Amino acid sequence: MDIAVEKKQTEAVGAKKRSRWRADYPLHLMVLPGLLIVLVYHYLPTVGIVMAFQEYSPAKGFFRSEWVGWEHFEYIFKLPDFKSALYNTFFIATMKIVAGQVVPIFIAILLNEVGKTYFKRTVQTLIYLPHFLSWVILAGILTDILSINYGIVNQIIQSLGLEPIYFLGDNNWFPYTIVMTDLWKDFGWGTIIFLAAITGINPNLYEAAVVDGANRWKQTLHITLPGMMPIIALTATLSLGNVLNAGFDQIFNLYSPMVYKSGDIIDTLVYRIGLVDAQFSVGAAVGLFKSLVSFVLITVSYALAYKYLRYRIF
Amino acid sequence: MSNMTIQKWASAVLALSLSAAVITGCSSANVKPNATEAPQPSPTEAAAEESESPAEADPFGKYDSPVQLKMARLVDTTFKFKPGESIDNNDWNKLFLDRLGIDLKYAWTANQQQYPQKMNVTIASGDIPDLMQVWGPQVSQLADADSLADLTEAYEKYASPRLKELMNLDGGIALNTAKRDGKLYAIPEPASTVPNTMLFIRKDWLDKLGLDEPKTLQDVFAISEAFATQDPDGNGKKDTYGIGLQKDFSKNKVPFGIEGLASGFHAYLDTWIQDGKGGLTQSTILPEMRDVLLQLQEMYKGGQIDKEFGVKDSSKVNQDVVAGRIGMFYGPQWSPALPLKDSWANDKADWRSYGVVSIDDKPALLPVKPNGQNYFVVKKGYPNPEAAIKLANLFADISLNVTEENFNKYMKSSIDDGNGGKSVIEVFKYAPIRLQNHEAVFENMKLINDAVKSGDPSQLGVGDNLASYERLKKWETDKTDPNAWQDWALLGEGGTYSVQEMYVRENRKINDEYWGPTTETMSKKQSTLDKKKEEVFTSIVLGAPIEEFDKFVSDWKALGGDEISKEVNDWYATIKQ
Repeated sequence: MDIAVEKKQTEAVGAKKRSRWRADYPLHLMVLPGLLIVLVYHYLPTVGIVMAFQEYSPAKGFFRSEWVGWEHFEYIFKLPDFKSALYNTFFIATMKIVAGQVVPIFIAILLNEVGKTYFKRTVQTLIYLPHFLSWVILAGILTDILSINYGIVNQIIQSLGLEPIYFLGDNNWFPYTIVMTDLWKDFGWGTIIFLAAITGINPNLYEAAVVDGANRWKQTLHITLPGMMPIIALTATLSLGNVLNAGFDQIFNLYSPMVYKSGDIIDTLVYRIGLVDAQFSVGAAVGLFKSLVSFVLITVSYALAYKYLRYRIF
Repeated sequence: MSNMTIQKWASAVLALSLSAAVITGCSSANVKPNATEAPQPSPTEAAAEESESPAEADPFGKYDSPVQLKMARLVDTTFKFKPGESIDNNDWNKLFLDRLGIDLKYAWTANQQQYPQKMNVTIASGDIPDLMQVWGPQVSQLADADSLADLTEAYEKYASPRLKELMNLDGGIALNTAKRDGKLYAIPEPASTVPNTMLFIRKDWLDKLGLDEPKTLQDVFAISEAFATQDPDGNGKKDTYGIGLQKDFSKNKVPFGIEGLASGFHAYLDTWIQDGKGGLTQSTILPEMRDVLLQLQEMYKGGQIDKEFGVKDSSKVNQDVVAGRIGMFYGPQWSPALPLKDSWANDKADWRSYGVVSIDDKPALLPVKPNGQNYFVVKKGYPNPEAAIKLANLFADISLNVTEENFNKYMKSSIDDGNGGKSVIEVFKYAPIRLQNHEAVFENMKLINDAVKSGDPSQLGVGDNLASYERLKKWETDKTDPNAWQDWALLGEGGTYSVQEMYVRENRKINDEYWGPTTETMSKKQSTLDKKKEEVFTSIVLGAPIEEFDKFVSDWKALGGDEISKEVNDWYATIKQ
């Protein structure tokens, strides 16, 4: 009898599964085009990784190009400039990641405290406008603004009685100039997601806190910040994947031989190598190297986020 | 894309459009104002008569039944068409079909930005059209992949005498660059080997400070110092520089490069020159370059160079020129168009062009690189590879012997622009393979300036020479129009073309002797070496001890320079035979 019951139960489960499938299959169908696009444009091209291990020539294709193994990786790591480029990339990117997290969170909380809607909206719009300007344009503007001769920034500095600073030509200043300008361009954009997170916090919590006698500061500390934590963990984890992306567009447009020492990053290095002769394989090898590092970092941070925040991102 | 690239394109387009305007003028020099003389049989007709003997290869022979020719080429936004015409349907295509029996159609066309990518994709796909416009490295790539037809025989047999003459104006170097193992794999369009760099100085500043035009490099140094220290703009502030300089120490970084100054010291950036012992040597690392840097360092110390030159690309220095902060620089022949026109419009800056001057009694030579600017390749297995040669023959023929009617139909058409005016359509661009005589322009300049002096344009015929004449005439009467000023600064007496003419007359060029392919070490190490060069040269100008240069030389050699030198010399040994 038990067996019969079990059988019935499994049949019922099977039927339930089938009917669920019947109910859901239009949804699955709707996902299909997206899935196909991901497959074709994201998974299929990973076959190209093979280029990194070949002396790739487009005329010969993947199948007839000569197999060289790790040669391109050895070549990159042995480049005299590689070490400093790696260090610069890491240094600039890390600062960018940290600043790009902390500042938008801070601004988002401040904006949230602003009562007047029109003021809040205006500020929000103004600070995220620079995000839409390209670095080509900004580089031209920044070279003028930061100019040691006529730039407004140095005129202010001089009017305070200080020595003018050669922001774009001094190796001590250049990485910070890069981080600051990048922050200026993108912090407004970054606040959007945090503002959204704050909006999502249940107002009842604040009311309860007020009843308990918490002031604004305590509310921020014990309700707003913890409420934002999942989003903060998410963005922090994802941004770790960028630890080897120091921003090619920006640096390429702002650097010069004077600051190669502190501003040359992996991407600009590869760009110059690629310019001399189209070395597809070297480019693929660097790309693969960067992806691997990102992959490892994201995996680690994912595990950390789960361990300490009990938070699953995916 | 970077603004550097954009600017490179902009300058290239400018230079091209300017030179095209005048170069095509070379054809009109031969236009007969009254084409009433008994028509001489053109080579085409003469050849058509001979073609009865089939054994003889005829450069202009017509195929009995039209042969199909599918081509991929660059077509940019400067291509304009008459109403109803297109790149597939125009007078040149009709001419090819009527005269040669070649049915030219385009498999695809693209503009500068997209062409290289599209070509790479096409090459990668393996499905290539019959005829393609490519660049030097792609010739090697395609030849290595055994995708190209061997054109050696077709060229020998079918190239017209005129085509061969144009091909050999540069000593046949461009043609050699299209050969692999003695076989010709492409038809090159030889690039101009007329030196392009000259010295631009504000004459109004010279006059104000009572200085003479420079005869020697020492004069240039004196002018530079005076411009920086004696307040040439008379505003009572120390806000002018001696010489305009931009951040890159590379060849062809123009304007505001150091190429012209280096030439005065007999040093040539990024150029392989003869070492006097039968081999080649890289001029960048020779002691002469040390002197150049030492000089620049001194000028920087003296405030003659912008403290910020190290972060300024040429577009930024342009702004300084227009703002009246710079009174002298080395620039290319087209500098009057950019930035000097704006400078003139801004404060009537009287810019003049001068040939580069030397530090000693040896004349200053300018490096040129004989090379192909475009290459045309035929797909392996295409049954009529000589058809490509015939296309080139016909253009060379027509551009040499244009009649008034032909000029309108095949070179430049003037049509109503719909607003009551005329606009010129550059029909000649439709022809795919166009070899030019880059030096013919100078004879035309002389003709035009003579006509301006005498006021009699009757010797100029039709076409561009007449147009240039009218523009120069305009300047004589109207000295307010910046465009008229630009025409005068380019074409007029003492203009940039006349400086180039002097270069040609006095043979003031030195060949970059290496025109071989990118060697293995170059492709691996060149960018590292270049970076080192930029870094060290900049730091020396900014005040680093000159011993840094000696260290750079030994580093350069150790980091791959020696290997590259060896490869270059091995190559040189093979072509010297």
